[in-house]
Amino acid sequence: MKRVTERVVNLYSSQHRHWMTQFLLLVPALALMGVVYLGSLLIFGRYSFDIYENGKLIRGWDWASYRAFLTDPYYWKLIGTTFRIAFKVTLWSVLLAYPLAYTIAGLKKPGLKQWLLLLTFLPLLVSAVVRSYGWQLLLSRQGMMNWLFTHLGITEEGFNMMYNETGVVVALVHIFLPFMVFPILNVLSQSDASLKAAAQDLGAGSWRTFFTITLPLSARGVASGIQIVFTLCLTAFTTPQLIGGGRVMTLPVFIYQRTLDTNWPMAAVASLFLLVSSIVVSLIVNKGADMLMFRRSRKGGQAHG
Amino acid sequence: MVSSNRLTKLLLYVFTGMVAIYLLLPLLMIVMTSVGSGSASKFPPEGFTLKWYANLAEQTQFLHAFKNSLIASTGAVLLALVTGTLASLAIVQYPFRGSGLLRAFFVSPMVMPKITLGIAYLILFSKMHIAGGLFALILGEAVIVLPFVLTIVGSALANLQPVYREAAADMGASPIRIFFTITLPQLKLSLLLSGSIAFVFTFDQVEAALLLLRQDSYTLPIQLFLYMEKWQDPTIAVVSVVLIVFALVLFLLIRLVLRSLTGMEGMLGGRKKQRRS
Repeated sequence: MKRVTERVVNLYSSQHRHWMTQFLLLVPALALMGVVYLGSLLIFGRYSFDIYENGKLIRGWDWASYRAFLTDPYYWKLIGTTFRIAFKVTLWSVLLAYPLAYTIAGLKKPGLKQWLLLLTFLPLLVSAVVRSYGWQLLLSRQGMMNWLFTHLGITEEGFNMMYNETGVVVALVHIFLPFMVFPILNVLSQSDASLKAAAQDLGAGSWRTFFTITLPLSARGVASGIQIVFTLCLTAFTTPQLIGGGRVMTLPVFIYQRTLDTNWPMAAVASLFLLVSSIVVSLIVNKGADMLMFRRSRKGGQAHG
Repeated sequence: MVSSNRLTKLLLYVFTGMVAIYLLLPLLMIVMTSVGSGSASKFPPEGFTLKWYANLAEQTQFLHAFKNSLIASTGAVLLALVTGTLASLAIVQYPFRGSGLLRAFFVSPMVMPKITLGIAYLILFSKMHIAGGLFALILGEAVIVLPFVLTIVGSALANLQPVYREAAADMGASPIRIFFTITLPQLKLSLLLSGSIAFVFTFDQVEAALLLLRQDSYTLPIQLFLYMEKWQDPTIAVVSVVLIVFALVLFLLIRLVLRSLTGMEGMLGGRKKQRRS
């Protein structure tokens, strides 16, 4: 036993390098990931080929669930809703996060900056369930938002904001906004201030400087923000379920309901679709940002020549 | 020119203020509801009362769920820290053929939809006859937070200077002693950082736990989630306030610890840059 432990730690002196050492170090993680993660995904994938009939699972190899999922218009509507919500939330997040990140990055006073940062990331510490509850209170018929709207004379009897897409979008933007602010803030505060100064020296106005220097330089940050928020939105479950109250059907909500009635094949197929689409979205956004950056840099080169 | 610049700045500040209000509003609303005497969803609240707080003392299920949450999160974080640190040692210090691939595999739960994982766990653990309990949840959550440990501890390991280890080895320290007196103290900070991020993350998990747990092992978010689907009373607001305070205290504690460890600022900056690039 002592030999074994010594080997585990021996990797610090390179002359004792031994494949056993590496292997022993990897064993715990491999066991955990192999059994729990890979195991559950494999068995899960296997279930997608089973047949679900009259509330019963029948073992088998059948494409029935795949076929139903890809051909039935009901599922396409579901997919449409999920993507539409994700798109709206991402758009609003960019619109709100960019100016916020820009302001924070531009602040000179460390005190105010710290407070704004804390404020931006505070919601992250609070559970999504709790935040959804907060929005339920705000958006309900007799809630504060409707109270405000009726007192401002915008509406007579108040809007329906709960149990529909509007409410879900408003709450989701709140929940994912920090994930958009962080990458943008990161590139903005790392970008070279001398470039901005140079542009201004050459006579570019502040708007021109912003559009030709700051914005292109931060494209990378915006892209990773979009990637994170969009994929998080596609897979968000808690908020659509609680704010949507079962009336806003997104893929994760649908998957949850199918699991409750033990229609595991359908849940598995929908989950696989969700997984594949979030990977595809990530790839597309990455590619898009690359192309944007590339075009920018080529333009810059031409201007030099 | 100058005045238009000022105007832009002013507009930016106003906008930032509005976003700040948007971010804070739900939390303030919860606090307000928790001390209001009317029904939960009515605004403006009618009076001030602490009766919901008193009511909480009778709702033992929340206390029980809080305890379950603590156990599950701590267990999952410890499991992820141990397995993740050992794996990073193997991958970072001794890259072998396929180690990059292995790392990618270990980090992949990060992009996996959590609801997918939750259901995959349900199926696997029911087959293994351990679904329903906290043990299954700990195993499942450990997989979910392993990427945090691997990323943060891994990059810290890559930044370590080998001189200290070599010096200690030259002086005749045994490898075990070197690990515990040289390497581990150097990793302390990243262990703390990844551990606390992982803890906050697991403490919140709904998707993985919702389907997996039995009633007596519900964690706090699950208990809240199910309660919210059924009832609408200010007790949830009170529990939420307690949770918000808990999160704040945790945050301040971590900050305090990080501050007391010297050299934090530089390390954090360096790591951040690395991760983003």
